[in-house]
Amino acid sequence: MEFLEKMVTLFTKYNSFFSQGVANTIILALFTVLLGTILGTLLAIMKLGKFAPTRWLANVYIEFIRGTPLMIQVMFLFYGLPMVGITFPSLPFISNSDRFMAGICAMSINSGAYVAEIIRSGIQAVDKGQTEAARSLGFKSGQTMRMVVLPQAIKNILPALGNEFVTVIKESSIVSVIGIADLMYQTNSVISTTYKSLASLAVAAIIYFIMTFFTSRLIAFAERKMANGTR
Amino acid sequence: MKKFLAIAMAAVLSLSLAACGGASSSTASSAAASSEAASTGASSQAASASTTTYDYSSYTGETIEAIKAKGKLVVGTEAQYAPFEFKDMDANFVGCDMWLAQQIADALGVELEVMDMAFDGIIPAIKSGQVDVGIAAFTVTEERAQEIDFSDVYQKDEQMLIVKKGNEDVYTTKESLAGQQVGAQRGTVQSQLIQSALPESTLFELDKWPTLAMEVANGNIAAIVVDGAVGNDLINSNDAIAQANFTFSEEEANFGKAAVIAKGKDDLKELVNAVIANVTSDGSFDAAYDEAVALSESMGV
Repeated sequence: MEFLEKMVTLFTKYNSFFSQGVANTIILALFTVLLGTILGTLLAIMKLGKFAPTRWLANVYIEFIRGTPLMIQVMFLFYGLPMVGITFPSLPFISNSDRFMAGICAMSINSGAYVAEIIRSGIQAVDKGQTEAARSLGFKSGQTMRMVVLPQAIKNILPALGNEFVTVIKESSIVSVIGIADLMYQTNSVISTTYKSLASLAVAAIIYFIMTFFTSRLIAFAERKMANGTR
Repeated sequence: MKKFLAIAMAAVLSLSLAACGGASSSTASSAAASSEAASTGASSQAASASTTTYDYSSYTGETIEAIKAKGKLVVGTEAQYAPFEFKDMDANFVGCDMWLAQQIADALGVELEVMDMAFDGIIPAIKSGQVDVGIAAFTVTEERAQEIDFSDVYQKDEQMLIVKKGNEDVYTTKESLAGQQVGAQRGTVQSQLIQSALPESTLFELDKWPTLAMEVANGNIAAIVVDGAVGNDLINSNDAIAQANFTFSEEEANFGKAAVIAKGKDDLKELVNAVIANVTSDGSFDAAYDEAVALSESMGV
C-alpha cells in the first residue's frame, strides 16, 4: 500500500518528466513502425524476387541486422558515422533533431529486418493455387501480388505484425543510450533525483503497458474488420 | 533427412548444455581468481607501502557480527571509473576504491565480494541491504546524506572541464558556456555542479562517461564536467578532447569522496572511518591511488 502511495506521489510530482518521455517514445515508435513497415515490405519483395543480387542483398541485410543488438546499431549510427564524416543534420526549431533522426533510423533499420521476415512468411503462406488461378485468369504478376496475394497475406500476418509494433514501443527504451529523452531516459532521471528506483520503474511499466495495450487493441480491431470482409 | 535433423538438434542441445556448464564453471573460477588476485594484490600493496597492520578487533556491533557470520563483505560499485574502480586485463576489480574495499574486508577478517552495478543502483542496493558498503567515488552531498550515511572523506579531487581539442581557449568562462550543452553522467555530483555553477548552460546527461567523451569529440555538446583523475584518463584515451582553461571556484566544487553505508549501521561506519583514517594518514591510500593511475594508463590503447 505504501508502495502504491509512493508511485502516485512520484507520478504527480514528476508528471512533466513522464509525459515528455511518453511524447518522445510515441514519436519514435510511430516513425519507426511507419518506416520499418515500408522498409520491411521492400526487403520482403526483394527476398522473394527472381533477381539474384537483390535477393542476396536482402538476405545479408536481414541476417546481419537481426543478428546484432539494437543498442550497438544505435551507437554506431550516432557516434560511429560522424567519425567517417556522415552526420545527421540538426533541424532548426526542433531540439535534438539529430539524435531523434539517428534513433528513428536505427530502429527502422532494425524493425525492417523483422517486418521483412513477417511479410515474407505471410506471402509464402498464401496457397500457390491462388497465384496460378489469378495468372490463368489473365492477371499480370504485379496485379496478382497486389490484388490477390497481398490482401490475403496481410490478414494472416496482422497478429505477428502487431507483435512487432508492441516490441518497437518497448525496444525504443534502448535509444536512451544516445540521449533521446524517451520514457526510459526520463524514468532514469527521476530515479537519479529521488533514488526511488522500484517505484519509478513501476510507474514507467504501467505507462508502457497502457501504450502497448492500446496498440494491440488497435491491431485486434483491424483483424476483426478484415475477418468481416471475407465472410 | 529426419534422422539428420534429429542428430543435429541433439548436437545443438548438448552443445548449449555444455556451454552452460562451461559458463558457470568459468565464472566460479574467475571469481576465485579475482578474490585470489585481490588478496595477493592487497598483500603486495601492503608490502610496497610498508603499512603496519592495524588491530580492529575492538570494533563490534550488530552489523559487524552479521558480516563476520556471513564471511564476506559485499561492496557495491560501478567498475567503469578509472582510476577509482575499473577492471584489469583479467577482469579483476582494481583501482584505489577497490584497494580500500579490500582493506575494510581485511579489517573485518572476511572475504571481499564486489558487486558491479549501475551507479544509480548502488544507493538503492545499500538501502535494501543487498550491499554492505558502497565505494564508487561517491561525492558527499546533502541530498544523498538524507538517504544514506557517509563515512569520512578519503579523497579530494578537482573538477575538470573537458572540451573538443582546439576549443581549450574558447570555453574559459561561464559566459562562454552560456546557451551551450554541458554534459555529465546522470545522477552524479557533476551534473548537480553544472546546474548550480553553470545555470546559463543546458545540462546534458547520459549513463556513461566514455559515451559523453564521444559526444564532446563529435561536437554534439560543448563540454563535460568530470573528476580530475577521471578526466585525465578520458583525455589520455581520446585524442579528440582536451582540458579547457577553466576552473571552478573553491566554494563551487569542493568535493570530497566517501564510502556509503546504510543508515543505522553505525558500528560498521565507525570501523570504515577507522580504516580510512589509518590508510590516509600513513600514505598507503595515496600509494594505492598512484598505482591505480599507473595501471589505468598502462591499459590504455
